Amino acid sequence: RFDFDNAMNAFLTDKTMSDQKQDKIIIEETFRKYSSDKEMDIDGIIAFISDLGLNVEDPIVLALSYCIKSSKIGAINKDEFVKGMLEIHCKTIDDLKHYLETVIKPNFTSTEDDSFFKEVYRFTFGFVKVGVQRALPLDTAVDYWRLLLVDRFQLTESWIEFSETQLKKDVSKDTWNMLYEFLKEYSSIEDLKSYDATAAWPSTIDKYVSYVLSEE
Amino acid sequence: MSTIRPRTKIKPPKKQDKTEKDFNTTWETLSNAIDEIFKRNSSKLSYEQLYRAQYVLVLWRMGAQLYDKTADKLRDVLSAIIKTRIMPLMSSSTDSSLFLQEILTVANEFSIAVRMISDIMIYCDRVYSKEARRPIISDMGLYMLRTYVLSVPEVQRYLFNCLLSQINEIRRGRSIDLHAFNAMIQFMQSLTVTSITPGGATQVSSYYEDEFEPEVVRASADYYSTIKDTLLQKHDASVYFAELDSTFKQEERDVFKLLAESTHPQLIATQDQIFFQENLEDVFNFSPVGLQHIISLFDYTSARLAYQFAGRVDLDRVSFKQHLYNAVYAECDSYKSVLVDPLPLVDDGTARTKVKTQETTHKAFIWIQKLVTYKRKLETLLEASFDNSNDVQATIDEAFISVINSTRRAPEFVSLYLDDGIRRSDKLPKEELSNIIETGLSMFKYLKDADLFQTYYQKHLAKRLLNQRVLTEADELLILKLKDLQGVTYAHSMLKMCDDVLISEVNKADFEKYQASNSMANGFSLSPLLLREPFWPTYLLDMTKREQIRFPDEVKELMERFEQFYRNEHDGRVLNWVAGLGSGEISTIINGRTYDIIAPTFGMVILLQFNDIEEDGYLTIDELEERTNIGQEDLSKHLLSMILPPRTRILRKEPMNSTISGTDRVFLNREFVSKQRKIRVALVTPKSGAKSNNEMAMNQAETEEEHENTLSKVNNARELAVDAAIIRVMKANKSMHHTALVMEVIRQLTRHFEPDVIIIKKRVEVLIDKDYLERSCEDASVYQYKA
Repeated sequence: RFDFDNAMNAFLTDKTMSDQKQDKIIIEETFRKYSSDKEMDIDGIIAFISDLGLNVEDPIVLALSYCIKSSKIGAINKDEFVKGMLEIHCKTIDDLKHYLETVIKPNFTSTEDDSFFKEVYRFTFGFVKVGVQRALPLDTAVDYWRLLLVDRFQLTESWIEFSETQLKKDVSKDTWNMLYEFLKEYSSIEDLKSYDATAAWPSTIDKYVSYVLSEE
Repeated sequence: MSTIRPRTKIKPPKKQDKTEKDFNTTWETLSNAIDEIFKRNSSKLSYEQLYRAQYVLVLWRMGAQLYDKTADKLRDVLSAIIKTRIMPLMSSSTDSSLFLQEILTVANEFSIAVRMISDIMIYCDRVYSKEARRPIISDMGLYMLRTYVLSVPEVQRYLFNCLLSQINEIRRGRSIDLHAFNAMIQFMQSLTVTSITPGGATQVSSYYEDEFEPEVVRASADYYSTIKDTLLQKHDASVYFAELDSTFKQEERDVFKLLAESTHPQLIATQDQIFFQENLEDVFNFSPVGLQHIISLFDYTSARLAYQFAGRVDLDRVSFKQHLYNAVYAECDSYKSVLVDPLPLVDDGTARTKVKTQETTHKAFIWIQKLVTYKRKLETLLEASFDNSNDVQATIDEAFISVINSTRRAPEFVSLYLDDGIRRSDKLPKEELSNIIETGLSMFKYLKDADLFQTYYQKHLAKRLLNQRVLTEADELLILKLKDLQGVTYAHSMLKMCDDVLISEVNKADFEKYQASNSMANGFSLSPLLLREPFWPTYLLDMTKREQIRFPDEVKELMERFEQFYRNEHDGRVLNWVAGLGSGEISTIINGRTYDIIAPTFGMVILLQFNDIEEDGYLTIDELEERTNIGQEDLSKHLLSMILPPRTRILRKEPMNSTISGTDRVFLNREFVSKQRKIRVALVTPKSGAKSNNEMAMNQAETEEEHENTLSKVNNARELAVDAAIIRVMKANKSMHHTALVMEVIRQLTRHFEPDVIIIKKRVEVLIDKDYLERSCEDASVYQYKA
């Protein structure tokens, strides 16, 4: 089957298809260091991450997962891995380390432009969700809000407290996504006084605002 | 502004002396002639000589001197006249009309004289006046008259006082010398000056406009203010309006015609300013008699005046409408108390029981009736006092809408009101019925929750149809009207329900024919109603479906025969019997008297069980349950209905009490006596122990619990409607901003109910979650439809 993305990559990077095949073999070799299977299991992942000099708890791991197109937490599919690595032009652990330092980290921690961070945040919902359920269990959601948002947005703790004590409900994708926009736009309780409940915010956020303001 | 220029003397440098001399002699001739004219001796004068004199002077370029000298002369003449003829009349002892007459005479004489002079000075006019752009001599004369007689301060003051006091006389209802007054006004109007405005246009204004009019307006303002101050102290809007009305009429009738037309709008503006601009709001707010009071009393006259006067200062009558709204709202709001307060006891004993059992229904009825009566009265008021103004009508409607919709159960009550009318429709005169329909519908139009009304109307209609088994004209008419108002979908189920009843009628006739032709009569007859399940309120069919009661053989045989007949006609249709909705009629002889007992189907089945029981035999409750398969609850309800109420005590029970237990024995009541042949068994509702006519017979207000239940059902339907509207709108627009979507959804749904923004938001979220919609990447407030 003709793969447009690969063809385009090959053209742009001035690599022939055979070069690509070469790359693929190297990437597969890298993968095999951690798993002989089609899928890398949790032990393999832990080894892989520590080889990169990272801690599993580090939020940047989510960014890495996003970059290598990993579709779900706790396992890495070989095909996905190869495709992801090819896209970012990495073949070995060293390549990836370099990429991590020069591309992922600066973008992920950039204070001027949060677009990469936001993409990672949105990606996280699908990445950490298990099964066919549409919504994310609240405790999982809270873990990742803590991991990703607490340091970034002032109202995160207050939101988490509200969702644990008042809402007590799984988190929909829309709420997950819009929460980021909301926390970005409203950085203090004072700001919430100008909040418009008829605007397009999800109703869970409406509830949060009216709760916080009534507590005030 | 005067057009008379300062005297400019154009003196030719040559022959100055000679000319000077010549001017004086020539002027002498003219001056003497002018004197003669004023002495009315003009006949002696030679026109030719005088003409030549002025001709020569103009020719000598002495026009200016000639003109000025003539002007001086006229001024002197007028000063003399003031001293000799006018001043002597300026004393309080003189009759004011005499004074006016004299001024007019003087003016008239003077005008004649000036005209003669101008006839002589014709060459001066044509050559000098034209060249020097000065008024011709006759106009100059009038100007002199205006300046040196009428504008002399003491003369003017006296003249105006004279005129104004005459107007005051008129205002006091006394008469004056109209002839002199009118002539004076006309004369003042005729004294005009022409001036050039800064824009270059020529403006002609009269002495009347410049001098008198402002005075008369000022004096009238004082007069009006005095009236206002007196009226305001009375603190009564009704009096205020009535007095003003008569004042305005009098002004128009007596005073306006004395004055020039140009003054009328100014006086009216003065009235508006003084009586309304500052005070109308205060007058509306007067207590106790303010505008709201006037409206609540239906004081047509005062209300009409209030409406008219409000329109004089504000075409939109904003404040007037606000007061009207408040009055209507307060009145309607006060009716709510009938829904809460206990009902007054009715003297008639039977009515009292009725009142007790159907308290809420009855209250609802009174409530609607009060609203309707009030609305009718307002309509009369609208016609009598507010010119049938659409604008005012809209205000009244607004007040009704907000009161009615603030009553939670209004849709149900309106439907009950109509139900009552329709049920009595065969006994009511035609006009009264159409009146009920009309008013019911007008109340319906005020409802925001048309869908809730629909639910109740369907429910009540179902009961009517089941009970009466015919479609009344009133129902038919109403449903068609609802269809017109709300659309076909709204009335769909109702129309189908009506169809079912009509078809059943035809079907019944066919069935009878079928039986007759097959000679299958067994003394029993059956007339089933064929109801198509989707169109009837679900609870009706649900309630009884689970009952699998055992019918007596004769009835069963009949039912089977009907099923067979129906299958022949309509193959493939499934028939389910819903026994609980029907009723049965049994003819029997008790104590030698024949009675027709009409009982609900269950009751009929119970009674039929006694057919094969010997004279004094009995059946225990357990036996009855076994024989009929009627459940405990229904069994006791139906048994008690025929045991407890004296009028329908067809059965008796041992032990005689109001509870039912398995071993109780039930007998036919041999002692039963009734004056009527027809006995209608009404169902006892165990809760209250009171009776109602028949389970199916009467529509009643729901209990709070039932109401909550209905509401939650309607709310579910609303969510679906909101979903459907969102999808419809999004499908058509593909991409839409949150606000636009919400507005469009509200617009599409308001005809059925007033959707809550919060609900729309929640449904949008659900639809996002279900992947029908997504948020746009660029703007999270924009939704996109996912095909």
